[in-house]
Amino acid sequence: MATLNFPKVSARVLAMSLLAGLLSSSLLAQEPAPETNAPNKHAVADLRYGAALYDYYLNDYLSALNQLHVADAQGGIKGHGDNPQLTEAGISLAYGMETHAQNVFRRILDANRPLDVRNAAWFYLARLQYSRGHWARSQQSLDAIAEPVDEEIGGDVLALRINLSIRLEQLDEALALLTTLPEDSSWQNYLNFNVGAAYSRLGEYETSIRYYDAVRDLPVPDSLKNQSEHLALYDKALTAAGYSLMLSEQPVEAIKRFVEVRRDSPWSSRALLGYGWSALESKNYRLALQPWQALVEGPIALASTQEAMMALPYVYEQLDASGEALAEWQQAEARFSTQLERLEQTQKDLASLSLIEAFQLNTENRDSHWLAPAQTYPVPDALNTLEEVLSSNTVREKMQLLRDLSRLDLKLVHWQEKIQLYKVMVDERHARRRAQSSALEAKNLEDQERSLTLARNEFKNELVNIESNEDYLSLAFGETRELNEIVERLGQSLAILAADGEDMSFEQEAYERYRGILLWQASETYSDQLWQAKQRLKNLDLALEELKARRKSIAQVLADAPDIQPWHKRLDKTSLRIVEHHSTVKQALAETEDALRQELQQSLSVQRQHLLSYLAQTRLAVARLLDAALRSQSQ
Amino acid sequence: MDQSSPVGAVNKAWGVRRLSVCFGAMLMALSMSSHIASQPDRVEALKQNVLDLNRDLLILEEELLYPSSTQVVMFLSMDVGTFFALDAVKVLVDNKLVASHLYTERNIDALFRGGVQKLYIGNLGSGNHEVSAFFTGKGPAGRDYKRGAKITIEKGSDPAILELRIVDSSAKEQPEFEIKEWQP
Repeated sequence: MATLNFPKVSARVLAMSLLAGLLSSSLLAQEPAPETNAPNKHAVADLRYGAALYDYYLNDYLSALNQLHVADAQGGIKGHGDNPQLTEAGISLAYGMETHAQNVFRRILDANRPLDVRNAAWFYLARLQYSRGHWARSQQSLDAIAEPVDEEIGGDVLALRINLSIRLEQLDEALALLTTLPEDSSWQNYLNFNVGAAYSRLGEYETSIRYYDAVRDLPVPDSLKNQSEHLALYDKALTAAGYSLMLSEQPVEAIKRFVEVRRDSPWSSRALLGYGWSALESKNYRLALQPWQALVEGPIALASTQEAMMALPYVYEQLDASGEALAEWQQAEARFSTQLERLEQTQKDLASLSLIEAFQLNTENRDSHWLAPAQTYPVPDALNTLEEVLSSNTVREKMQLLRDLSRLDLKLVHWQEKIQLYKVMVDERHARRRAQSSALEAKNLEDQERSLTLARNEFKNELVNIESNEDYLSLAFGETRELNEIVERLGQSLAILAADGEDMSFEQEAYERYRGILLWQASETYSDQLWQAKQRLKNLDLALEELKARRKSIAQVLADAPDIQPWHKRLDKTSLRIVEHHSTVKQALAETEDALRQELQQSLSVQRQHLLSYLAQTRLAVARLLDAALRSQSQ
Repeated sequence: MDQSSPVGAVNKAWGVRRLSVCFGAMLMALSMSSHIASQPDRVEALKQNVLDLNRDLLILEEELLYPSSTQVVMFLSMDVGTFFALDAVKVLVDNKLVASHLYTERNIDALFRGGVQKLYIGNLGSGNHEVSAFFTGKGPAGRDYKRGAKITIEKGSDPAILELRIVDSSAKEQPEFEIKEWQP
């Protein structure tokens, strides 16, 4: 398509529209949701650029990139400077193409670009790199951000710096940066939690508790969405604080944190488990019963439930309730056995299960935003024991890669089908054209035109003669023409008889009288007939012109008809490229799926080992209690 | 607690388990991944290759199906927020329906943010053609609203590029609909 000329729009407006797009998308998993999402209206100077943005806003990154690439190959988008390149890099980033985005940014983000645009580009790149665990690359991108940082991303940049410092175990740096974070920043609770977690990893529980408690003490935000995020983190922080307190030998304080965790929170099972352990640590066995009794009712696939199933009978034993303990051990043995069978079946199923289908990764309309929160995929019933591992980052990233590869695979399959169809279409077009050409040859338009021209010329000459000789009778029609023919024949007969010496004077007189009458009658309609004859000539000329034009046009179409060979060559060449790429994609797809399968199998193996260990210990406990009961009976 | 008993041993194991649960919770909260970076890099290279191929295929497809001498492309843009909420559009060429679209909230949002929808691509013979578009939605004060716009184009050997535009007229406090023909 050719370039279109619309009024130029400022580069800043367009660049900001990209950033608004990036900003409007949901942020990373552990980030707060943006407060506002103001639309950014603008006109485009090239419709193709607008079309790419449209696809981008619909989260169809592949189509958006295709639009930009096609436009680029057809002469480039005009009227937007190098914003399309920046947009392309931004979309590539959202599509997980980190290296490409980085290369474009390095190439075009020079000093001539507004600072806020440069900073935003480096920031989003740093964020993707961080989420992929590329700490050094992320640090490099963050270092490219220059002051002053636009307030729209200022908080996010600072938060990323802090998280990166934590990741790189530079806690002093992280704490120094944390002090510069505004008190009302929505990042406060996330970063406090992350610092707390960092201290926990170092075994400095007292310090970590301070940061967890800071999360707990932060006011609940006004907006509903932020409230739910806040509460989720609140539960997480309370659970983490509880465990830290327990590990620093403050079980009573730990219980105070655990009981504050909401029952419907995803952290409640961990909190209940910690609650029980803290009660046990403080020798309050009866108190330990409550949370664990609640926990054992939960799904056995949860590690917390399994652990509570082991802990609960132990507490009964501590309370000298051997009957209850035995019943719990026996129940646990039965449940562990069933779960073990289920797990082994899952392992078998997983070996042949298509993970792409199981997690519905080939659904076209799924978002594929690498900067958006890690996606939650539906967990099939057959794999419900893997719920915990499926929410881990490494598994999620593999699933995202698998989903992207699956879409590429689907795309290439569609193209293969299309190319076959196009080959048939080209053949059919060619056959149709040949048939048309043969039909035209059969009609012999050229001969038709030639004979028509000849007839037209004769007609014209005749008309000229009639007009110049005022030959009224030649244009006579109807009865006059018929009578004239009779009179003409009579004249010829009279001439023959007169030549034989017959006296034909009377008949000659009558002949001339009739002829005179007919001539007079013909002269009455002559002008009208002449005009009509001229009109017929004119129409004939028009028809001839039309025939000529049609013949010329058909000749042109036949001459211009693309040769079938170049199309076939092009389609065959493309077809080969598709096959080649498809094979590579399929291989990568199989490898990624295999890696994911191995990770899930590994998790199942660990679970199986736990279950086997629990089962062995449970059986021993049952035997021990039964043995004790027998001994006591015999005594 | 009797650590020498089987239960004691179990309990000792739980102690380790407890720590793992605790750290698991914290590590998950941090969302810190530690995996090999090579696979994403490889997938990125694959994506780039497929994108290049896709570009060539799209160009080939356009040249094959919609040669520039007969090509007609229609886009839809919207710079409106106050006076019109678009529900649907229908496009007719020479009184024959060629394109229609029902708009979701996401479509509207994409248009509102500056995206331009490629509504139709097709072929048209040379000569004069009448293109008409009908827009339905909610107009000022939330009333049902239906308006049309019409244009006659002369199709030559270059592609015909049309933009169906919906814009606010603050002077009239009404939405305005127009079809603009772009010069290739």
